[in-house]
Amino acid sequence: MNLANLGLSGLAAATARLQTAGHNINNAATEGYNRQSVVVSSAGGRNMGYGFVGQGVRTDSIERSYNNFLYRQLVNAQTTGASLVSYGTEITQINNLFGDRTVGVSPALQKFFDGMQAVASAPADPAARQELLGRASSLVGQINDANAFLDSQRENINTQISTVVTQINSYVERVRDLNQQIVVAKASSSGQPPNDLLDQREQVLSELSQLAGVRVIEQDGSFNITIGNGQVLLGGDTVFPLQAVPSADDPTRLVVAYSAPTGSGRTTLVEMSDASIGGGSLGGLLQYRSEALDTVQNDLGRLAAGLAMAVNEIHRQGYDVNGAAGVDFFSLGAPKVIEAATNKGSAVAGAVLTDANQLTAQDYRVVFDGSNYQITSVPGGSVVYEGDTLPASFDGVEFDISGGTPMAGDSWLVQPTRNAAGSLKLAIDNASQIAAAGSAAGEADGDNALRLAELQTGKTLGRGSMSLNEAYSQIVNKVGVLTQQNATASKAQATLIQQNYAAQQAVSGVNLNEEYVNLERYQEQFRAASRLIDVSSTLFDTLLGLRA
Amino acid sequence: MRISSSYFFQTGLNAINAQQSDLLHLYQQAASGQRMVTPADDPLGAAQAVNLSQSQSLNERYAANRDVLKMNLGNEENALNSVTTLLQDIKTRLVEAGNGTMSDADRATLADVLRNSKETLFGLANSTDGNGQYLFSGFSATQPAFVKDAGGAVSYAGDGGKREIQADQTRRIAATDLGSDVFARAASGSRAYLTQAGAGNQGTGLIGAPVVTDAQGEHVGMPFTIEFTETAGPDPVLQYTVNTFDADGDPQSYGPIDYEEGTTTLQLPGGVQVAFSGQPKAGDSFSVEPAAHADTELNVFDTLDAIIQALETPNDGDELGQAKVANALASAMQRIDVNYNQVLTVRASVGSRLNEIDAIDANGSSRGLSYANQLSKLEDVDYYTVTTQLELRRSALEAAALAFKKIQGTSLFNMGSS
Repeated sequence: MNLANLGLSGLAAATARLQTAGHNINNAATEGYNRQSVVVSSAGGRNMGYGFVGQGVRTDSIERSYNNFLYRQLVNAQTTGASLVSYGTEITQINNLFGDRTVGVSPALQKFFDGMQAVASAPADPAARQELLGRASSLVGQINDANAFLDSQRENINTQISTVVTQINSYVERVRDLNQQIVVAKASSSGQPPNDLLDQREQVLSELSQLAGVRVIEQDGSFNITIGNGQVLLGGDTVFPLQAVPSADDPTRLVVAYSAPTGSGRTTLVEMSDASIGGGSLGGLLQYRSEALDTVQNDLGRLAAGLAMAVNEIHRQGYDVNGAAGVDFFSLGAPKVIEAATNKGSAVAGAVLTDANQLTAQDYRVVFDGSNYQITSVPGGSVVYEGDTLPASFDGVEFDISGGTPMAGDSWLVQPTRNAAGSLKLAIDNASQIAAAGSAAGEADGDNALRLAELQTGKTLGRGSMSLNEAYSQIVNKVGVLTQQNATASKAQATLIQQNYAAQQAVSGVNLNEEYVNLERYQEQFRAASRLIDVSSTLFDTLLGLRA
Repeated sequence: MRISSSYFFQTGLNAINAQQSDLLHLYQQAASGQRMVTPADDPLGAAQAVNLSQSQSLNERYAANRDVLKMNLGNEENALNSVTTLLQDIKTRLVEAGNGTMSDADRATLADVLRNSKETLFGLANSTDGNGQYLFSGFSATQPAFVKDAGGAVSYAGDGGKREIQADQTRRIAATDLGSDVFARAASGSRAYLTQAGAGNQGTGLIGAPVVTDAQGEHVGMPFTIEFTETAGPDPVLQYTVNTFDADGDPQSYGPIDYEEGTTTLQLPGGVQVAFSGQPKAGDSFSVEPAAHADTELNVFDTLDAIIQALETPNDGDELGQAKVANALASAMQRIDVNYNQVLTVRASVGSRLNEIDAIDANGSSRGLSYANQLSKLEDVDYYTVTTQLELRRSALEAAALAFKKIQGTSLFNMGSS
């Protein structure tokens, strides 16, 4: 007679179930929590000769409702989503910067030329000249400001890259720690899954995936993590940390480097290409920098270079109030030429802008192979010059080596217009220096100012295809298109995430109504099992009463 | 499908967020009146707006330029109007001076009147605009157009610069004219001839009223000089030689021809005829110059100086003196006529420029309207659409919130507690 034991096994199962339901209810809102349930089985029967009498219920295990495929899909969608969001956060800022046509570079450009027309109409009027000087200075200020904003965004991206890299390393370490805890927990519970530790590890991994796209390989219950083209972040118990380092090509930009093992426990830092890191907020930042920030800053620089070179050329042909020949109106810094950190030769390289109309707003890489210089555009990679003689002229730029000797394998990065918008300055400081006159004859001569004013609509950029203002509107359009694309992609991605989340939650999520029903149900099981003990006790009493 | 509770809350939140962000965008559109809050809303439209606004600002600039032109040309027109009246007045005085009954004293008075006129004309030629810039001095705006030397002779001191102003995209219009054109040159294409007697003439020969008798004549457009000589011998015959130039600019001489006394006209070879009378002497010379010729000196001030000097020279009872005055008067009247015609021509050109500006103005304002219209189409929000949308979104948001609350209220836990 084992009714009491039977009741006891039922009580145990009901308690485990009630406890699990309670756990589920408590963690209904916990990130990364997977619904748990009690696995029970019949305890089997004892052969009584007349048949098998059931021995109650056995509590086997607590399992989580988890589907690896659905979980991975959700994480992948979130990785792409995080990349789009960080890209979007950055581009929204320049979208706003170039947003209002009534403020910023475009109206300053119009006012500058408007002032030029006013001087052309009344060259002897000192007030008109003073106003033009003021407007020129405000135009320079607007272009400098826009560039300073882009520069500060570049700085900000550098900071974000180092922060994200540090975060990635710390997440990888947490995965390693959890790996170890899980192994220990499993070993000490005779193979029962430590559900909550598993949930935690997957949650950490999902947070890591929102920083950068990583790949996970599960081996004996432990996670190994790789990034990029298979660079190992976590292998066994060893973490290979990432590092943010200044690029050898361009020290102003931080890039991600991984620690490559060189044997005997040492590692060396190797730069990873921006394109190899896809997904996550890190991927979004890197993509934004090369796709949007670099090109927009080059475009703005080209606009500044076009303005300065076109205005200067005509201004120098004129005469100022005192009949002196015109000087430069604007000044412009020389193009940036960055020597690769790996260069072995002593060559000092430089470049000058020769023709604004030919500028392409691209960067260029110059490689010396021992006899020939090969110059390719970056990005794009088309060869624009190949030869053994310098200076090399290409796309309105002239590259030359002013001293020292290069060695085979040396390379330089030429950024013709990257810093042009920042280095644009007003070269004249006195309104009387404005060379409005076409001859040295008199102060009412506005011929040169008329020619300068014509630059407003003259096609001075893009091989005769764009005026200055059109070049600006092209930047506005580019930024607008990129922002729109990002917004559209983000929306679609958000929907995808939502769908994947729904599918994952359908399996793993806690439904409170369901748990409520479970509570009722297991409470009843508990009551029924208690009743078994009660009955057992009554039966026992009956037997005792027989004797009495 | 199982719906997890956190998914349910998440979805409710997402739905409300989405509705709210749409609502915010509509609100931004309605509040700013702009269809495009950022370029991303319509990248192409945003770029077009930048270009259109440049066209619009250029159009406004050209209108401002035309205002400057109108002001300058208005100033010039005023000055030229006064010059016209003054020249008419001078012409009347010259006709008066030709009256043979005038005494030396009368002529001296007339000379005074003309001297005053010269001063007035000098002032008008040095007119300035509102900014104190001289109208007629070319590029040298701070330099008076005409200056007077110690002897009172007036000469042009400006330069040949043409002050042009951009009146629209393709048209530049001169804002002023040169003093040397207005006061010292014949209208281009003028076929008028001017006569002058040599300063040292001893005879009483009178020259005047040159006319072109044959427009196709060989020497029309060339200057002539008429020189009187006597044949040698006891019975000298008065003869004259006409010197001129051929089409290539090489000098050419006709004569000597015997001078017939009592003649009234001289037929110059090659299509020009002058009135000629009186008794010239050997050694006398006369010139007949085309007004439009490059070498012809037509400074109106010099003309006035010459006539003033002639009028001030006493000649009562002096035949030679009277002949000099008569020749000087004839020459002066011809010259003043040419100057007068030139001033009228310049005035007409100023008027036609003002007309052209009016026409461009009309074009410009209709273009301005069209730009404003296009910009408005690109940028301005359609309030009817936005307010309707706003209403729609607001109800959608309310519905989403209400639905969320309703469904959330059906939780078994809630029912249990109520």
